[in-house]
Amino acid sequence: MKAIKTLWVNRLAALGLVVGLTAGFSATSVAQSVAGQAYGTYVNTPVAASSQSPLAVLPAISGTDGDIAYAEADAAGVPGTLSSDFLNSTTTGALGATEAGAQSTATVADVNILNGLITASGVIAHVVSSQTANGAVSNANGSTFENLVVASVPVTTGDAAVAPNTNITLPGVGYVVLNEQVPSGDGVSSSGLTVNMIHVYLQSLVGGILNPLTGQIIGGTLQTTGEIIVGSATSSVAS
Amino acid sequence: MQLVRTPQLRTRNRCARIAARLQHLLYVSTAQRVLLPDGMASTLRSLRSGSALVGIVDSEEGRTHMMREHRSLILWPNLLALALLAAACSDQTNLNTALKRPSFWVGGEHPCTPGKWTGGGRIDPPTAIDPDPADRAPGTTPVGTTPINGKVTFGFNVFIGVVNGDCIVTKGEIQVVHHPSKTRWHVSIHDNADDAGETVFAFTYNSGQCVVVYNPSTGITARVNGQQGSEQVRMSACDKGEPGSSPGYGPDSFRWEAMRTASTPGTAPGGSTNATRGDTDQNLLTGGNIQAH
Repeated sequence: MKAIKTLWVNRLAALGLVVGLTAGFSATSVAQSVAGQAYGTYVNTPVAASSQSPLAVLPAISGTDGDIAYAEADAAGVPGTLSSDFLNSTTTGALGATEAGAQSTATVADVNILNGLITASGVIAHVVSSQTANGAVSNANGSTFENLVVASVPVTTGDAAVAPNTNITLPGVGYVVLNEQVPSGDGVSSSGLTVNMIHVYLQSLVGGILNPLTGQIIGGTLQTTGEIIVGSATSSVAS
Repeated sequence: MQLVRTPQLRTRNRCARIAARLQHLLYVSTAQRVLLPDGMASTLRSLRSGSALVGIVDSEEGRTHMMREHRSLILWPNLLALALLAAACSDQTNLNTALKRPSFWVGGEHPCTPGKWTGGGRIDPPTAIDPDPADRAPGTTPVGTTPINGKVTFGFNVFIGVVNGDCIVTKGEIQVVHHPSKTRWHVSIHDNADDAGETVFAFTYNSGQCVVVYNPSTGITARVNGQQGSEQVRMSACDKGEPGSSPGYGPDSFRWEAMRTASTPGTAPGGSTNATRGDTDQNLLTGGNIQAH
């Protein structure tokens, strides 16, 4: 009788151990998916278009695997709209037992947008997403501009960062967002970030009435008619 | 984690292991033992006491067994073992390796933590803040003879395993870009070897927080600027926390060393020549992350 009782106690203890371990593993489980992509330039205007180039997209990763994608180009652009050279796009990611992460980098040199309206000798877009038992985080540390000039106004001297989502008006053209950051995820089970280092929004006035006396348009709304992106990197993790 | 010796020591270890096994075969009693003719016994004894094995095997233990077993030996297994020993102790590759050692030599016994390492980010040598000195790979100097300065971005994904007692990068890719000189390096590793067919080795250090990917004799072959040429490189990376880069520096760090070869005149940064190599030194990340899985 005593032996049977001991047997059941042992079985219950073993069951408790299994349940405990399972709960422990689930509590510290990390990302089941990571994603990343990076590209140097993208142009979509009423008069010109160029796809995301050079584009690196992290292949689908499963299990506890890891991977890398990279793309490069000596030059990219659209005449009269954008010119650039020495473009490099890299994205890496991996799923692990205790942590997971993805990181993407896009670099572009000698940037010239809209015939000198915006110039930079170098642009680097960096994003990182990582997930551990403590949660999921993303950042764009290391994203910088080198000798950035917007509408003849120097923004950075040498290599320097610009505050996220810096908005500068471009009269007659639209506006540009520097270090544009678009976060995603809840910061616990998922996190993601897209950074577009130079995002030009081309705008046109739609509607409104022309005042014949002043020659000005009264009313109407500005609508985005095109966009130019230089240096874009995206990463994300999710469980 | 396993301890592995660097490739130069590997052959000697194998020789010692085979010698020990031979010693075991020589003196262990079996039901099929035969008496060895005096001449052959003498040859084996001289081999056993020969200079090639002195210092590698513990012959005192063997002599004790010898006394106990009345000089009885197993003939055919012994001959086989002798052949094996000869093969293990004569390794021409080892000789060549020793001659080229100065290139990317990292000596000693180092740990190997099988797994995968993934990272991407940037460094900006020379860094105002030095990393932990322990982040530099054992046996390497603090800074190379020809610094690689300026913006460097990188991405890599390498898988490390123990193959035949060696710490090997079984597969992976490394992409590094030096922006001031507009130099791109790319390393592809498949089936334990780089594009040149050379084995790619690795070891971990600093309590498994860091890894160095290298080939001690030739360096790893990296394509430079597409197919324009190749250079010999070595990579060190440290995973010191999550995320790997806070605003400012670190905690993760990265190092890239590249030596120009005859196939890439003028492409190596920092004015490096065939005799010297460009070196970023171990730098804290200013962006990005490195993860050891």
